[in-house]
Amino acid sequence: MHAVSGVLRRRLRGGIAAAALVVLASSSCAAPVASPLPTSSITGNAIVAEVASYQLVANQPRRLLVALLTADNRWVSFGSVAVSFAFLGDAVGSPSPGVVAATRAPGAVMGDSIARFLAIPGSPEGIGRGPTLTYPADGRGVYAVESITFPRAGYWGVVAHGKLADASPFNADAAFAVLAEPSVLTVGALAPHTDNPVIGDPGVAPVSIDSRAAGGAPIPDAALHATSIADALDAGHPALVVFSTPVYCVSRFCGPVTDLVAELAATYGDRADFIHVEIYQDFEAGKVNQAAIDWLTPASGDIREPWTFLIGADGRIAASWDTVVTRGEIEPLLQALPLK
Amino acid sequence: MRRSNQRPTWRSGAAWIALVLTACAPAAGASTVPGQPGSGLTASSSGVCQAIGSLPDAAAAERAFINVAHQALHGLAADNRLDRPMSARVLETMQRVEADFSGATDEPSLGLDLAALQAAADAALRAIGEEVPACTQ
Repeated sequence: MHAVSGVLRRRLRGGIAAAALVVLASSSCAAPVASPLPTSSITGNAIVAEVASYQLVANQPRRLLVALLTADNRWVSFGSVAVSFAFLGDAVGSPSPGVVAATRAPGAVMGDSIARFLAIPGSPEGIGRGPTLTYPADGRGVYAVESITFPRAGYWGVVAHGKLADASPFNADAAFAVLAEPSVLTVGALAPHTDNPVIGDPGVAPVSIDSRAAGGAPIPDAALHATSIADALDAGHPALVVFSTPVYCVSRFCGPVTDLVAELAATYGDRADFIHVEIYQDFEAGKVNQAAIDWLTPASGDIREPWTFLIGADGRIAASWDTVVTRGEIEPLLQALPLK
Repeated sequence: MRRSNQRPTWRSGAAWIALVLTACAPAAGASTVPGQPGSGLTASSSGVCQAIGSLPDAAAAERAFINVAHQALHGLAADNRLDRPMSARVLETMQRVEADFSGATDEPSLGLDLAALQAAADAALRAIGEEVPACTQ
Protein backbone atom coordinates (compact mmCIF):
# COMPACT_ATOMS: atom_id res chain seq x y z
CA MET A 1 0.00 0.00 0.00
CA HIS A 2 1.37 3.32 -1.01
CA ALA A 3 0.76 6.67 0.53
CA VAL A 4 -1.42 9.02 -1.43
CA SER A 5 0.47 12.15 -2.25
CA GLY A 6 -0.43 15.57 -1.00
CA VAL A 7 -1.06 16.56 -4.59
CA LEU A 8 -3.60 13.78 -4.90
CA ARG A 9 -5.38 14.84 -1.77
CA ARG A 10 -5.44 18.44 -2.92
CA ARG A 11 -6.89 17.29 -6.24
CA LEU A 12 -9.56 15.30 -4.47
CA ARG A 13 -10.50 18.18 -2.27
CA GLY A 14 -10.52 20.56 -5.20
CA GLY A 15 -12.76 18.28 -7.19
CA ILE A 16 -15.07 17.72 -4.28
CA ALA A 17 -15.28 21.42 -3.62
CA ALA A 18 -16.23 21.92 -7.25
CA ALA A 19 -18.89 19.28 -6.91
CA ALA A 20 -20.16 21.01 -3.82
CA LEU A 21 -20.51 24.22 -5.78
CA VAL A 22 -22.67 22.38 -8.27
CA VAL A 23 -24.80 21.18 -5.39
CA LEU A 24 -25.20 24.63 -3.97
CA ALA A 25 -26.07 26.03 -7.38
CA SER A 26 -28.78 23.49 -7.97
CA SER A 27 -32.04 23.87 -6.17
CA SER A 28 -33.02 20.35 -7.20
CA CYS A 29 -30.22 19.02 -5.05
CA ALA A 30 -30.70 21.39 -2.17
CA ALA A 31 -32.10 18.75 0.15
CA PRO A 32 -29.64 16.79 2.22
CA VAL A 33 -28.54 13.69 0.36
CA ALA A 34 -28.46 10.39 2.18
CA SER A 35 -25.23 8.50 2.29
CA PRO A 36 -23.46 7.20 0.36
CA LEU A 37 -23.08 10.63 -1.11
CA PRO A 38 -22.21 10.53 -4.77
CA THR A 39 -20.26 13.49 -5.98
CA SER A 40 -18.33 14.00 -9.13
CA SER A 41 -16.15 16.47 -10.88
CA ILE A 42 -14.81 16.86 -14.35
CA THR A 43 -11.11 16.37 -14.90
CA GLY A 44 -8.80 15.58 -17.77
CA ASN A 45 -10.75 14.26 -20.70
CA ALA A 46 -14.09 14.86 -19.03
CA ILE A 47 -14.55 11.47 -17.44
CA VAL A 48 -16.80 11.60 -14.40
CA ALA A 49 -16.49 9.18 -11.49
CA GLU A 50 -19.48 8.10 -9.45
CA VAL A 51 -19.32 5.75 -6.51
CA ALA A 52 -22.10 3.26 -7.18
CA SER A 53 -21.91 1.38 -3.89
CA TYR A 54 -24.90 1.95 -1.67
CA GLN A 55 -23.43 0.94 1.64
CA LEU A 56 -19.84 1.14 2.82
CA VAL A 57 -19.26 0.64 6.52
CA ALA A 58 -16.15 1.38 8.55
CA ASN A 59 -14.06 -1.66 9.47
CA GLN A 60 -16.17 -4.01 7.39
CA PRO A 61 -14.79 -5.47 4.18
CA ARG A 62 -17.06 -4.57 1.31
CA ARG A 63 -17.07 -4.36 -2.44
CA LEU A 64 -16.64 -0.83 -3.79
CA LEU A 65 -18.06 0.10 -7.17
CA VAL A 66 -17.07 3.08 -9.25
CA ALA A 67 -18.71 4.04 -12.53
CA LEU A 68 -16.74 6.10 -15.01
CA LEU A 69 -18.81 8.13 -17.43
CA THR A 70 -18.46 11.01 -19.82
CA ALA A 71 -20.73 13.95 -20.31
CA ASP A 72 -21.81 12.65 -23.70
CA ASN A 73 -23.16 9.42 -22.24
CA ARG A 74 -20.21 7.16 -22.89
CA TRP A 75 -18.84 4.75 -20.32
CA VAL A 76 -15.32 3.68 -19.58
CA SER A 77 -15.61 -0.06 -20.01
CA PHE A 78 -13.43 -3.19 -19.82
CA GLY A 79 -10.10 -4.04 -18.27
CA SER A 80 -9.07 -2.58 -14.98
CA VAL A 81 -8.18 0.81 -13.55
CA ALA A 82 -6.09 1.98 -10.63
CA VAL A 83 -7.89 3.58 -7.73
CA SER A 84 -6.53 5.58 -4.81
CA PHE A 85 -8.34 6.59 -1.67
CA ALA A 86 -7.96 9.36 0.87
CA PHE A 87 -9.87 10.23 3.99
CA LEU A 88 -11.41 13.67 3.74
CA GLY A 89 -13.01 14.26 7.10
CA ASP A 90 -15.64 13.39 9.63
CA ALA A 91 -17.99 16.23 8.84
CA VAL A 92 -20.11 15.64 11.89
CA GLY A 93 -23.31 17.52 11.25
CA SER A 94 -22.15 18.62 7.86
CA PRO A 95 -24.77 18.59 5.12
CA SER A 96 -22.42 18.53 2.19
CA PRO A 97 -18.97 17.28 1.23
CA GLY A 98 -18.00 20.79 0.32
CA VAL A 99 -17.88 21.57 4.00
CA VAL A 100 -15.72 18.54 4.49
CA ALA A 101 -13.33 19.65 1.82
CA ALA A 102 -13.08 23.05 3.41
CA THR A 103 -12.02 21.58 6.74
CA ARG A 104 -8.87 20.13 5.18
CA ALA A 105 -8.95 17.55 7.91
CA PRO A 106 -5.94 15.31 7.97
CA GLY A 107 -6.60 11.66 8.50
CA ALA A 108 -6.23 8.16 7.27
CA VAL A 109 -4.82 7.72 3.82
CA MET A 110 -5.07 4.51 1.88
CA GLY A 111 -2.97 3.63 -1.09
CA ASP A 112 -3.65 2.26 -4.52
CA SER A 113 -5.86 -0.64 -5.43
CA ILE A 114 -6.97 -2.17 -8.67
CA ALA A 115 -10.60 -2.10 -9.72
CA ARG A 116 -11.70 -4.48 -12.42
CA PHE A 117 -14.57 -4.06 -14.81
CA LEU A 118 -17.92 -5.67 -14.05
CA ALA A 119 -20.26 -5.59 -17.01
CA ILE A 120 -23.91 -4.96 -16.35
CA PRO A 121 -25.54 -8.34 -16.98
CA GLY A 122 -26.32 -8.62 -20.66
CA SER A 123 -23.69 -6.09 -21.71
CA PRO A 124 -20.43 -7.00 -23.45
CA GLU A 125 -17.70 -8.04 -21.02
CA GLY A 126 -14.84 -7.02 -23.30
CA ILE A 127 -12.62 -9.86 -22.19
CA GLY A 128 -9.03 -9.14 -23.05
CA ARG A 129 -9.62 -5.47 -23.71
CA GLY A 130 -8.31 -2.55 -21.73
CA PRO A 131 -10.30 0.46 -20.57
CA THR A 132 -12.19 1.84 -23.55
CA LEU A 133 -14.70 4.60 -24.03
CA THR A 134 -17.88 2.91 -25.22
CA TYR A 135 -21.34 3.97 -26.11
CA PRO A 136 -23.87 2.18 -23.91
CA ALA A 137 -24.80 -0.32 -26.58
CA ASP A 138 -21.17 -1.43 -26.78
CA GLY A 139 -20.29 -1.59 -23.11
CA ARG A 140 -21.75 -0.63 -19.76
CA GLY A 141 -20.55 -1.48 -16.31
CA VAL A 142 -18.69 -0.44 -13.21
CA TYR A 143 -15.23 -0.94 -11.81
CA ALA A 144 -15.07 -2.99 -8.63
CA VAL A 145 -12.58 -3.29 -5.83
CA GLU A 146 -13.63 -6.72 -4.66
CA SER A 147 -13.00 -6.21 -0.98
CA ILE A 148 -11.86 -3.08 0.74
CA THR A 149 -12.02 -2.05 4.38
CA PHE A 150 -12.16 1.59 5.33
CA PRO A 151 -10.68 2.15 8.77
CA ARG A 152 -12.98 4.96 9.81
CA ALA A 153 -16.34 6.46 9.08
CA GLY A 154 -16.66 9.78 7.33
CA TYR A 155 -16.18 11.18 3.89
CA TRP A 156 -13.64 9.59 1.63
CA GLY A 157 -12.36 10.42 -1.80
CA VAL A 158 -11.42 8.12 -4.61
CA VAL A 159 -9.38 8.83 -7.70
CA ALA A 160 -9.60 6.38 -10.59
CA HIS A 161 -6.87 6.62 -13.15
CA GLY A 162 -5.40 4.75 -16.05
CA LYS A 163 -4.98 4.83 -19.80
CA LEU A 164 -7.62 4.35 -22.43
CA ALA A 165 -7.21 2.09 -25.43
CA ASP A 166 -5.81 4.99 -27.44
CA ALA A 167 -3.16 5.45 -24.72
CA SER A 168 -4.61 8.72 -23.53
CA PRO A 169 -4.43 9.03 -19.75
CA PHE A 170 -7.52 9.70 -17.71
CA ASN A 171 -8.40 10.34 -14.14
CA ALA A 172 -11.60 11.10 -12.31
CA ASP A 173 -12.44 11.60 -8.67
CA ALA A 174 -15.47 11.34 -6.46
CA ALA A 175 -16.34 11.59 -2.81
CA PHE A 176 -18.43 9.16 -0.88
CA ALA A 177 -19.53 8.42 2.65
CA VAL A 178 -18.41 5.52 4.82
CA LEU A 179 -20.95 4.80 7.53
CA ALA A 180 -20.18 4.07 11.16
CA GLU A 181 -22.92 1.46 11.25
CA PRO A 182 -24.70 -0.41 8.48
CA SER A 183 -28.12 0.80 7.50
CA VAL A 184 -29.02 -2.26 5.42
CA LEU A 185 -28.61 -5.86 6.62
CA THR A 186 -25.10 -7.20 6.34
CA VAL A 187 -23.51 -10.62 6.00
CA GLY A 188 -24.08 -12.75 9.08
CA ALA A 189 -27.34 -11.09 10.09
CA LEU A 190 -30.47 -13.15 10.52
CA ALA A 191 -32.73 -12.74 7.52
CA PRO A 192 -36.05 -11.09 8.39
CA HIS A 193 -38.96 -13.54 8.24
CA THR A 194 -40.64 -11.58 5.49
CA ASP A 195 -43.89 -12.77 3.98
CA ASN A 196 -43.59 -11.00 0.64
CA PRO A 197 -46.61 -11.47 -1.65
CA VAL A 198 -46.40 -14.19 -4.28
CA ILE A 199 -48.49 -15.26 -7.24
CA GLY A 200 -51.91 -16.41 -6.09
CA ASP A 201 -52.05 -14.43 -2.88
CA PRO A 202 -55.60 -13.07 -2.60
CA GLY A 203 -56.17 -9.36 -2.75
CA VAL A 204 -52.70 -8.52 -4.00
CA ALA A 205 -52.35 -6.44 -7.14
CA PRO A 206 -50.05 -8.14 -9.66
CA VAL A 207 -48.12 -4.91 -10.16
CA SER A 208 -47.13 -4.95 -6.50
CA ILE A 209 -45.59 -8.39 -7.04
CA ASP A 210 -43.73 -7.29 -10.14
CA SER A 211 -43.94 -3.82 -11.62
CA ARG A 212 -43.80 -5.33 -15.11
CA ALA A 213 -47.30 -6.73 -14.54
CA ALA A 214 -48.97 -3.39 -15.22
CA GLY A 215 -52.02 -3.00 -17.40
CA GLY A 216 -53.19 -6.56 -17.09
CA ALA A 217 -49.92 -8.09 -18.23
CA PRO A 218 -49.09 -11.44 -16.63
CA ILE A 219 -46.56 -11.52 -13.83
CA PRO A 220 -43.25 -12.38 -15.52
CA ASP A 221 -40.63 -14.75 -14.16
CA ALA A 222 -43.16 -16.91 -12.32
CA ALA A 223 -40.37 -18.93 -10.72
CA LEU A 224 -39.24 -15.81 -8.84
CA HIS A 225 -42.71 -15.16 -7.47
CA ALA A 226 -43.74 -18.58 -6.20
CA THR A 227 -42.01 -18.57 -2.81
CA SER A 228 -41.83 -16.00 -0.06
CA ILE A 229 -38.74 -15.34 1.99
CA ALA A 230 -40.62 -16.68 5.01
CA ASP A 231 -41.43 -19.89 3.10
CA ALA A 232 -37.77 -20.41 2.24
CA LEU A 233 -36.66 -19.77 5.80
CA ASP A 234 -39.29 -22.11 7.20
CA ALA A 235 -38.18 -24.83 4.80
CA GLY A 236 -34.54 -24.32 5.64
CA HIS A 237 -33.73 -23.61 2.01
CA PRO A 238 -31.01 -21.28 0.87
CA ALA A 239 -32.50 -18.41 -1.10
CA LEU A 240 -31.27 -15.86 -3.57
CA VAL A 241 -33.42 -12.78 -3.16
CA VAL A 242 -33.35 -9.75 -5.44
CA PHE A 243 -35.05 -6.54 -4.37
CA SER A 244 -35.70 -4.51 -7.47
CA THR A 245 -38.30 -2.59 -9.38
CA PRO A 246 -37.77 -3.43 -13.03
CA VAL A 247 -40.03 -0.66 -14.28
CA TYR A 248 -39.48 2.14 -11.80
CA CYS A 249 -35.78 1.67 -11.22
CA VAL A 250 -33.60 4.70 -10.67
CA SER A 251 -30.23 2.99 -10.96
CA ARG A 252 -30.93 1.49 -14.39
CA PHE A 253 -29.57 -1.83 -13.13
CA CYS A 254 -32.78 -3.45 -11.82
CA GLY A 255 -33.88 -5.06 -15.06
CA PRO A 256 -30.55 -6.67 -15.93
CA VAL A 257 -29.99 -7.91 -12.38
CA THR A 258 -33.51 -9.32 -12.13
CA ASP A 259 -33.04 -11.07 -15.47
CA LEU A 260 -29.77 -12.54 -14.19
CA VAL A 261 -31.47 -13.95 -11.10
CA ALA A 262 -34.17 -15.47 -13.32
CA GLU A 263 -31.49 -17.12 -15.44
CA LEU A 264 -29.78 -18.52 -12.36
CA ALA A 265 -33.11 -19.84 -11.08
CA ALA A 266 -33.47 -21.92 -14.21
CA THR A 267 -30.13 -23.57 -13.56
CA TYR A 268 -29.92 -23.78 -9.79
CA GLY A 269 -33.54 -24.10 -8.73
CA ASP A 270 -32.71 -27.47 -7.21
CA ARG A 271 -30.22 -25.89 -4.82
CA ALA A 272 -31.95 -22.75 -3.61
CA ASP A 273 -35.19 -20.81 -3.76
CA PHE A 274 -35.12 -17.77 -6.01
CA ILE A 275 -37.21 -14.76 -5.10
CA HIS A 276 -37.87 -11.35 -6.59
CA VAL A 277 -39.30 -8.72 -4.27
CA GLU A 278 -40.85 -5.72 -5.97
CA ILE A 279 -40.00 -2.42 -4.31
CA TYR A 280 -43.27 -0.61 -4.88
CA GLN A 281 -46.75 -1.56 -3.85
CA ASP A 282 -48.00 1.52 -5.68
CA PHE A 283 -45.41 3.66 -7.39
CA GLU A 284 -47.69 6.58 -8.20
CA ALA A 285 -48.78 6.81 -4.60
CA GLY A 286 -45.20 6.42 -3.42
CA LYS A 287 -46.17 3.36 -1.40
CA VAL A 288 -43.40 0.84 -0.82
CA ASN A 289 -43.93 -2.87 -0.24
CA GLN A 290 -43.48 -3.83 3.39
CA ALA A 291 -40.93 -6.45 2.38
CA ALA A 292 -38.70 -3.79 0.88
CA ILE A 293 -39.13 -1.67 3.99
CA ASP A 294 -38.18 -4.63 6.19
CA TRP A 295 -34.97 -5.23 4.32
CA LEU A 296 -33.78 -2.03 2.74
CA THR A 297 -34.96 0.99 4.67
CA PRO A 298 -32.09 2.75 6.38
CA ALA A 299 -32.55 5.41 8.99
CA SER A 300 -32.53 8.03 6.24
CA GLY A 301 -35.55 6.42 4.60
CA ASP A 302 -33.70 6.38 1.31
CA ILE A 303 -34.29 3.07 -0.45
CA ARG A 304 -31.92 2.27 -3.25
CA GLU A 305 -32.19 -0.61 -5.62
CA PRO A 306 -31.33 -3.22 -6.66
CA TRP A 307 -30.02 -5.27 -3.75
CA THR A 308 -29.37 -8.99 -4.01
CA PHE A 309 -28.99 -11.26 -0.96
CA LEU A 310 -27.99 -14.89 -0.63
CA ILE A 311 -29.58 -16.41 2.46
CA GLY A 312 -27.98 -19.58 3.78
CA ALA A 313 -29.82 -22.64 4.98
CA ASP A 314 -29.14 -21.40 8.50
CA GLY A 315 -31.31 -18.35 7.85
CA ARG A 316 -28.44 -15.92 7.91
CA ILE A 317 -27.32 -13.64 5.12
CA ALA A 318 -24.39 -15.34 3.43
CA ALA A 319 -23.65 -12.66 0.86
CA SER A 320 -25.09 -9.43 -0.41
CA TRP A 321 -24.54 -7.21 -3.41
CA ASP A 322 -25.71 -3.69 -4.01
CA THR A 323 -26.23 -2.21 -7.46
CA VAL A 324 -24.55 -4.43 -10.04
CA VAL A 325 -24.00 -8.12 -9.45
CA THR A 326 -22.68 -10.53 -12.02
CA ARG A 327 -23.08 -14.21 -12.76
CA GLY A 328 -19.41 -14.67 -11.92
CA GLU A 329 -19.98 -13.38 -8.42
CA ILE A 330 -23.09 -15.42 -7.61
CA GLU A 331 -22.65 -18.66 -9.48
CA PRO A 332 -19.75 -20.14 -7.46
CA LEU A 333 -21.77 -19.68 -4.28
CA LEU A 334 -24.77 -21.45 -5.79
CA GLN A 335 -22.61 -24.26 -7.13
CA ALA A 336 -21.29 -24.85 -3.63
CA LEU A 337 -24.77 -25.44 -2.24
CA PRO A 338 -26.03 -29.01 -1.80
CA LEU A 339 -29.19 -30.11 -3.55
CA LYS A 340 -32.35 -29.20 -1.66
CA MET B 1 -36.62 -0.78 11.71
CA ARG B 2 -40.12 -0.70 10.33
CA ARG B 3 -41.76 2.30 8.82
CA SER B 4 -45.27 2.02 7.62
CA ASN B 5 -45.71 5.06 5.46
CA GLN B 6 -42.42 5.69 3.91
CA ARG B 7 -41.77 7.26 0.59
CA PRO B 8 -38.21 6.62 -0.43
CA THR B 9 -36.22 9.55 -1.64
CA TRP B 10 -35.78 7.67 -4.87
CA ARG B 11 -34.98 10.71 -6.91
CA SER B 12 -31.86 11.87 -5.12
CA GLY B 13 -29.35 9.52 -6.71
CA ALA B 14 -30.77 9.86 -10.17
CA ALA B 15 -31.04 13.59 -9.79
CA TRP B 16 -27.37 13.65 -9.02
CA ILE B 17 -26.50 11.62 -12.05
CA ALA B 18 -28.72 13.71 -14.26
CA LEU B 19 -27.37 16.90 -12.76
CA VAL B 20 -23.76 16.01 -13.28
CA LEU B 21 -24.26 14.76 -16.78
CA THR B 22 -26.58 17.45 -17.97
CA ALA B 23 -24.44 20.11 -16.41
CA CYS B 24 -21.56 18.94 -18.55
CA ALA B 25 -23.55 18.22 -21.69
CA PRO B 26 -23.65 20.45 -24.73
CA ALA B 27 -26.40 23.05 -24.85
CA ALA B 28 -29.91 21.78 -25.26
CA GLY B 29 -30.99 21.53 -28.83
CA ALA B 30 -27.55 20.71 -30.13
CA SER B 31 -27.64 18.43 -33.11
CA THR B 32 -27.16 14.74 -32.58
CA VAL B 33 -25.59 12.04 -34.67
CA PRO B 34 -27.84 9.08 -35.35
CA GLY B 35 -27.09 6.33 -32.88
CA GLN B 36 -24.96 8.57 -30.73
CA PRO B 37 -25.85 10.55 -27.67
CA GLY B 38 -27.93 13.68 -27.72
CA SER B 39 -27.96 16.37 -25.13
CA GLY B 40 -29.57 16.63 -21.73
CA LEU B 41 -33.15 15.74 -21.12
CA THR B 42 -34.24 16.53 -24.66
CA ALA B 43 -32.32 13.46 -25.78
CA SER B 44 -35.14 11.47 -24.19
CA SER B 45 -37.35 12.55 -27.05
CA SER B 46 -34.81 12.97 -29.83
CA GLY B 47 -33.33 9.56 -29.09
CA VAL B 48 -36.69 7.87 -29.37
CA CYS B 49 -37.28 9.84 -32.55
CA GLN B 50 -34.03 8.44 -33.93
CA ALA B 51 -35.11 4.96 -32.95
CA ILE B 52 -38.42 5.39 -34.75
CA GLY B 53 -36.59 6.67 -37.80
CA SER B 54 -34.38 3.58 -37.79
CA LEU B 55 -37.30 1.19 -38.14
CA PRO B 56 -37.75 -1.36 -39.57
CA ASP B 57 -34.10 -2.01 -38.64
CA ALA B 58 -34.72 -3.07 -35.04
CA ALA B 59 -31.02 -3.36 -34.26
CA ALA B 60 -30.39 0.22 -35.34
CA ALA B 61 -33.44 1.34 -33.44
CA GLU B 62 -32.17 -0.38 -30.29
CA ARG B 63 -28.79 1.24 -30.69
CA ALA B 64 -30.34 4.69 -30.95
CA PHE B 65 -32.57 3.95 -27.98
CA ILE B 66 -29.73 2.73 -25.75
CA ASN B 67 -27.10 5.20 -26.84
CA VAL B 68 -29.20 8.34 -26.97
CA ALA B 69 -32.50 8.02 -25.17
CA HIS B 70 -32.11 5.59 -22.31
CA GLN B 71 -30.17 7.62 -19.79
CA ALA B 72 -32.02 10.80 -20.64
CA LEU B 73 -35.33 9.03 -20.09
CA HIS B 74 -34.22 7.94 -16.64
CA GLY B 75 -33.06 11.45 -15.89
CA LEU B 76 -36.35 12.86 -17.10
CA ALA B 77 -38.40 10.43 -15.02
CA ALA B 78 -36.35 11.29 -11.95
CA ASP B 79 -36.65 15.05 -12.43
CA ASN B 80 -38.01 16.63 -9.27
CA ARG B 81 -40.28 18.91 -11.29
CA LEU B 82 -42.25 15.96 -12.63
CA ASP B 83 -45.14 14.44 -10.69
CA ARG B 84 -45.15 10.74 -9.98
CA PRO B 85 -47.91 9.77 -12.44
CA MET B 86 -46.05 11.42 -15.27
CA SER B 87 -42.80 9.80 -14.16
CA ALA B 88 -44.64 6.49 -14.12
CA ARG B 89 -45.84 6.93 -17.71
CA VAL B 90 -42.31 7.55 -18.93
CA LEU B 91 -40.90 4.55 -17.08
CA GLU B 92 -43.74 2.20 -18.00
CA THR B 93 -43.61 3.01 -21.69
CA MET B 94 -39.82 2.74 -21.61
CA GLN B 95 -40.05 -0.71 -20.06
CA ARG B 96 -42.39 -1.88 -22.80
CA VAL B 97 -39.88 -0.75 -25.42
CA GLU B 98 -37.09 -2.55 -23.58
CA ALA B 99 -39.21 -5.70 -23.48
CA ASP B 100 -39.74 -5.40 -27.23
CA PHE B 101 -36.01 -5.15 -27.83
CA SER B 102 -35.29 -8.10 -25.57
CA GLY B 103 -37.82 -10.22 -27.41
CA ALA B 104 -39.89 -10.62 -24.30
CA THR B 105 -43.06 -9.73 -26.17
CA ASP B 106 -44.50 -11.78 -28.98
CA GLU B 107 -46.35 -8.99 -30.71
CA PRO B 108 -44.65 -6.79 -33.29
CA SER B 109 -45.42 -3.81 -31.13
CA LEU B 110 -42.11 -1.98 -31.25
CA GLY B 111 -43.28 0.87 -33.46
CA LEU B 112 -46.38 1.50 -31.40
CA ASP B 113 -44.48 1.28 -28.15
CA LEU B 114 -41.80 3.69 -29.36
CA ALA B 115 -44.50 6.13 -30.38
CA ALA B 116 -46.12 5.84 -26.97
CA LEU B 117 -42.76 6.40 -25.32
CA GLN B 118 -42.10 9.48 -27.36
CA ALA B 119 -45.52 10.86 -26.46
CA ALA B 120 -44.82 10.24 -22.78
CA ALA B 121 -41.39 11.85 -23.00
CA ASP B 122 -42.72 14.87 -24.87
CA ALA B 123 -45.49 15.33 -22.32
CA ALA B 124 -42.99 15.14 -19.50
CA LEU B 125 -40.64 17.61 -21.16
CA ARG B 126 -43.50 20.05 -21.65
CA ALA B 127 -44.58 19.61 -18.05
CA ILE B 128 -41.23 20.75 -16.76
CA GLY B 129 -40.84 23.55 -19.27
CA GLU B 130 -38.17 21.92 -21.40
CA GLU B 131 -38.02 22.29 -25.13
CA VAL B 132 -39.60 19.43 -27.04
CA PRO B 133 -37.43 18.68 -30.06
CA ALA B 134 -39.14 18.33 -33.39
CA CYS B 135 -39.39 14.84 -34.76
CA THR B 136 -40.06 14.41 -38.44
CA GLN B 137 -40.03 10.63 -38.44
